[in-house]
Amino acid sequence: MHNRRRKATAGEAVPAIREKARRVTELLKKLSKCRAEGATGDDAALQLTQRLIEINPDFAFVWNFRREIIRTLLKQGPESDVTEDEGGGTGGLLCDELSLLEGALSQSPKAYCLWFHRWWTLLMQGVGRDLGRELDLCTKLLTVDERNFHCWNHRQLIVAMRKHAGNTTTPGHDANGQQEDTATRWLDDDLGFTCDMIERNFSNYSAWHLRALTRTQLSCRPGQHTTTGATTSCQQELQWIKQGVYTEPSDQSLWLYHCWLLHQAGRPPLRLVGAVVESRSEPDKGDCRQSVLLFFSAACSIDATRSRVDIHQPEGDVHARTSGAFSPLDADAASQRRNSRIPRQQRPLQPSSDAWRFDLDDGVSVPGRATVILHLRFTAHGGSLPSFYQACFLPTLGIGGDTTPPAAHEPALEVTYQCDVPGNPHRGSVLHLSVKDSCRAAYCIGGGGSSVRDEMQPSDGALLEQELAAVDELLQIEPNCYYAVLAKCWLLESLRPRDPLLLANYKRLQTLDPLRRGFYQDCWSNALVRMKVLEQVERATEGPLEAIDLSSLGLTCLGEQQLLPAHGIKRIDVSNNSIRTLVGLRWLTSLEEVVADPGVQKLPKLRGSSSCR
Amino acid sequence: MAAASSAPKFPTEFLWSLNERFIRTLEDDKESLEYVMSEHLRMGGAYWGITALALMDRLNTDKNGKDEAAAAGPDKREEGGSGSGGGGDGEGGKDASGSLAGPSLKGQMDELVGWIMKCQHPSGGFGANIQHDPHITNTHYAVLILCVVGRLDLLDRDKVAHWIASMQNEDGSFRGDEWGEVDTRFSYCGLSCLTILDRLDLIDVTKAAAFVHRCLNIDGAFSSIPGSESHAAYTFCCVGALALADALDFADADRLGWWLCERQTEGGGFNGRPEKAPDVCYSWWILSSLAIIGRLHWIDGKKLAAFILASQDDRGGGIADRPDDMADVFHTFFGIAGLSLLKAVEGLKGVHPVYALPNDVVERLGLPYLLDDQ
Ligand SMILES: [Zn+2]
Repeated sequence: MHNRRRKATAGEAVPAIREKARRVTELLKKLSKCRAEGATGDDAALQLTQRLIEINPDFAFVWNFRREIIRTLLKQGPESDVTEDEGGGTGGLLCDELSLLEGALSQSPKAYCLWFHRWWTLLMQGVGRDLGRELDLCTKLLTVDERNFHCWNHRQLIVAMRKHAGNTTTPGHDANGQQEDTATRWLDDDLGFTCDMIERNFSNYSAWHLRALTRTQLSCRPGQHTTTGATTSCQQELQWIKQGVYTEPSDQSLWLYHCWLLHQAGRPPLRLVGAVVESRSEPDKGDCRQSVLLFFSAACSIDATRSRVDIHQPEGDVHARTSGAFSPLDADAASQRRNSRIPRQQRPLQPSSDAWRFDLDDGVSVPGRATVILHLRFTAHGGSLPSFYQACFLPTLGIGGDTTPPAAHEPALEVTYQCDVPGNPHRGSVLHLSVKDSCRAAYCIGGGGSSVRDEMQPSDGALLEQELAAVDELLQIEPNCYYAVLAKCWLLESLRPRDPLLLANYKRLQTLDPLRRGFYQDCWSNALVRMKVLEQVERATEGPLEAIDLSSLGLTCLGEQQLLPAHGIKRIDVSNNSIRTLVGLRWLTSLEEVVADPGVQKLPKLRGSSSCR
Repeated sequence: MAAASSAPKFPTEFLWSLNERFIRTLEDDKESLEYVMSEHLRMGGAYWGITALALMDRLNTDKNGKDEAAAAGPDKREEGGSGSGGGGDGEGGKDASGSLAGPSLKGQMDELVGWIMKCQHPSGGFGANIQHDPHITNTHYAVLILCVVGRLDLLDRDKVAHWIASMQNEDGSFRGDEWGEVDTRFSYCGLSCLTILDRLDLIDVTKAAAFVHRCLNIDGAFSSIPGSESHAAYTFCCVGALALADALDFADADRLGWWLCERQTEGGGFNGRPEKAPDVCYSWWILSSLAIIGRLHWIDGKKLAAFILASQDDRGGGIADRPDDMADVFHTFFGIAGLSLLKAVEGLKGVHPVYALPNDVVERLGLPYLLDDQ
């Protein structure tokens, strides 16, 4: 029950209301009786449901009965249920239903049952349904309430229905190209629709959401993925947002969309944040084996059977494929079930992790100077990554009903990363590879017969610098706009991750927006850890770095990515801070000793690594 | 929210007795319009009421969780100051022969449990009331109530589990009922029920998680169906479903956490989507999601607790969607569950953010704990 003001007197005492209650009770009982007697082909029963629905459109069981009646009537009817706008017969029954619903939806645009019944009626209509009229109805209702969640969802279902119909009703050999054109045109239409909605009111996050989704889908279509085109269009979007931001600087919708654009421009959803070669001796075998450890910005599933590692040596142009096996860095944790009631045979075929190891076969090793090329294939259903890419596959979605599940193709993502092995390794048993231009890695999203190549938008430094200047300009006028300060921080994270300004701004956010102090504290803590770690790593010019000291810094959390440059250390001191959990240490695989405050959760298991040189 | 001196003074303490009485008398007047018009919410109402009482530790169950007819005396504790003006015309106990069926929350557990079992459809699922059609949400509520009152033994587990499993679609999603509506709420209900009944073998858990994954949006939060806008209630359902399917990896905790903490508004309350008004029910959906991903400290718990407490009705008891609105059992439960996660009221029991059951019930049933903490 929402938005009902409390009344001073008990309204129930009014006799008219009690009378109404009595009447509704009677109708409900009549309905039960009717149903118990199996009176489903009955016009009177249909009338009864209508009366009750007019009283309360949320009575789900009344709708169920109504659907039973309609189903029976349709079966009894001599004509097919899809008549061409004749109005009469059973085809007319469904048309009448839609008209009834149209009126009811204007009255109660937020009643779940009405929307579902409308969708069901359209399903029953089959191919003859008029989806254009449906989209028009959505537009009409969204004009009245531009955030109506149900209406936006309905629109999404209709779009899926249309796409599905397009897939199944255009046979023939040349259909594929036509289909592609139609799909692109629909996406353009949707983009135009969001534009209209946003122009009407900038603060419409529902429209911004659809815009981001549609832009993602468009960028995944063939011929739509040129890097320069993407940058230009990103600039246009930023320019457009700017108008809104200057009018209403604290509007969240705009900043959420802004954040998404920057993420797209500056940070692809999956980055290889680091790679190391770890050597360890195996006492039982008496020799030394190597592993390439890969650390990602998000959890992902590497398809081990279709991924490989090549080593390229400049001398003599040797290009060798190495043999070995991929597995999650912490295979124990990856296979451990928190929900112990999931049967063993239900374990996902592809484990998901943000850190992976590639164990080189016996006798294989990474030479001192070489380029390691990783050809990785990720499965879409696994890890937090593909959310961005999933959007590309959304049009094929099948949601219950008569739409079939997505085609048998398995979406996948192929990425090639290049890492250079530095000339002189000096981190003990660990060799830090320099990850080359992770952002420029070519992504290939494959599916079915047509695979789409998508040159990932590069980390466009110039664009981000330009946006940083724009945000600074806004801050001159609106110094207390916390969204702008936060946007500035994110830009700095991409552009100058060691800039002390970052720390100052995260501190400032804690006073500007005290509600979310805890969040900014953690951001600040991560930035500080990054700077302190890099500082200590760089200072260790002679020999391997053995230990990192992060004590007494006022830290609240430890991030894996920020600690990664210290990979190879044996000791870490994180005491005298306010850290809640030590789970962030899990990437530091050679740790032997951790100094931490008592009571901190999740000390990772330490490895007494016997390293070889 | 202007808590200025001129504005009406809203409650700042938890109103134990009033809230308890509000819940216990909810189902008394079966001839009120309020009651008749909520016919489709009977099972949900029973779950919200019973679980709220359980969190308040006002449900009389013995150490095995077995029910015992509660004494139904509402005034076990002293009210914290505020005068209690009698709310509503809750004389209760009227002759209900002409009225609709429904449970009693007076404390007569056998009566309540008997009513629940009468709501089961021959197919195995539960309806919102006697003779209603089975639906996955009502089946979930029925299972949860039986957990709270310790009478899960009454269930033909296999029958219920098979009905739920029959609702799974080829793409991993769940239908609400035979009519085919699909929604991530149903994924959560399905996974939660089958975990409680220990029959996850009947469904494809991996596919169930994959469908939820398709509802992950670019802002890090989740939606009701693939492609629709993120929404706090569905985000809870999805995060809960992923926790149950052991696939929390699918969520980007930092991104999701920011979207969630951005739901807190100036007055302390949470909204469910950007630029919408705050509402007590989102307290639960957002706090539980934050708890599951270990980011509960990203919001201002004190201010949120004050908002929930201020939404209590200091005359009739219960909690409303926001201060000065009409209280109802739905918001009363979500408000109390929120206060429980915040540990803001001494005496409230802990609630499990995934199961939405009191922690002691989760422990008694030996359900997988699913979370990192404790
Ligand atoms: Zn609400």
